[in-house]
Amino acid sequence: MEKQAPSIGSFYDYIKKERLMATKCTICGQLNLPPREVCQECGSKDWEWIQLEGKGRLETYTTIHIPPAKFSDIAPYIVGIVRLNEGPRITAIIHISPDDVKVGMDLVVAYVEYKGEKALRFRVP
Amino acid sequence: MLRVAVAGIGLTKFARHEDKTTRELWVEAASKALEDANASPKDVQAAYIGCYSPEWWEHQSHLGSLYADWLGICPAPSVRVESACASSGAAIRCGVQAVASGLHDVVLVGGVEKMFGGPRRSCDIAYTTEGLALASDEAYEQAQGLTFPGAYAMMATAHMHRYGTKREQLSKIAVKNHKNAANNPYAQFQREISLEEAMSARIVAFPLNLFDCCPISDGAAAALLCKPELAREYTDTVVHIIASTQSSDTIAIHNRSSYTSLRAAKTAAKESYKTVQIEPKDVDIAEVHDCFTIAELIAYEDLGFCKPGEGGRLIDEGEVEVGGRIPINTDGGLKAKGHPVGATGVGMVCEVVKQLRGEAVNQVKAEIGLAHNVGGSGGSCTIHILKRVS
Repeated sequence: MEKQAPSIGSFYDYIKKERLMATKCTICGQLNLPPREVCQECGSKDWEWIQLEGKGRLETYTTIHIPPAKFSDIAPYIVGIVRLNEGPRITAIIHISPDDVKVGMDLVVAYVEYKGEKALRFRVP
Repeated sequence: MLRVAVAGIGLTKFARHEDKTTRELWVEAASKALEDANASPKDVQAAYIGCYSPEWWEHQSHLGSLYADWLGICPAPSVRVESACASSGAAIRCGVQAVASGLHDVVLVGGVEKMFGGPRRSCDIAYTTEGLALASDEAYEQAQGLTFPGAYAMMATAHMHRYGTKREQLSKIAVKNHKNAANNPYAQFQREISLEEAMSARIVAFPLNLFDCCPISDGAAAALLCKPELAREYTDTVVHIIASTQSSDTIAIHNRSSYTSLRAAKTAAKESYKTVQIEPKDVDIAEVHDCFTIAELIAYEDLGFCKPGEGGRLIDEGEVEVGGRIPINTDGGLKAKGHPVGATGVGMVCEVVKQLRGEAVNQVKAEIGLAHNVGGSGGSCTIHILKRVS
């Protein structure tokens, strides 16, 4: 397993390599996403990296019509919370039309170039 | 049991104050609170002032001392307290702790925010939208373009999906709060709106539209607190703060156990009810944090005024109206009174005190009142319970 400590930096380094990574607590088994050093469930600091498959389903969403300045070029866009099949959840922009989006739908991870960076997104499988 | 008396209260109008900076708004509200208590700045032994993001909107920090200086209370200790939209709820709690512990006898608590441009700075809507988003997780929510209305919109989608809550029920909350603000001289929107107007407004973050969202506001609020033994020196109708609780939750919504309830609010409310040994049904009036209509509906449930999922029924049946079983936001709430973020928590307590003293514009019969002040999308919440004792 990789030695890099869980941090915002290491999470996004993995995103650049198109890998969605969580940390697994080696004491209680909790999967922490976003990855973190202190387990959300039991507070232990014993962890290992786990790569998530990137498949999940949409738990809730919104369509942003009034965006922050950075995202003004893509509005309106959909942001949702995706529950990965392994259990943990994450917030992401979903590449889908507002007419087609539904709570409970299946999604897969996608990696796109956005403003000079590799960005995490989800899309329909 | 906790006993801290409210000696005086003061508010500015919540509105667009482009000719003023936060220090001027603060001095206006604080001076009114001192005047209400017939107190002088020399009586103030310490000050705790909530403000969310003066660095963003005004390029100003070190507010505690700045405000002490401009109010003329130096060298009394004075600090700014920050917990997003619950900043001044948290400031009240600091003041309560100081008095209850015996550290100080008389303290000033307050809150202030300027979100419109001022005499020295202009701010457009995109800038202010981004400023509000700072209360969410930078790395994992802001990075995905989530806005503050978007965060609550995701809760609204979840609530609709889980409980069948309807668009119309959310709009009814906006209609109620505008109605309550119509005769409140301190409110930003002193006008009623129709249900049709509320339902057909343009979308901000689906499913929330413009009339589901509180406005951008400038304003300040203040309250002078003292130990109960001194209350009679300042006020004829004594109101006590009898519970002051606060709870935290993850600021990223995706790490929470529920999207249809705020754990921080439920925990703080439960603890407050327990400390004063009352039940939700014993509350006569409540000020709840309706930054969005869905937030008010969820508050009905989190505070125990109805069961989870029944918030829509409460507004449908008029129970939360002035004259209903549990009148909510009798001053117009954040939706229509306005939401100068850092001022809101103390602004709520000012309305509860007015109701308990019998000085409110939409007066109801009340002996026990509650203020529910939420930070961000629910990462923090303070609950204060107040009771009239004479």
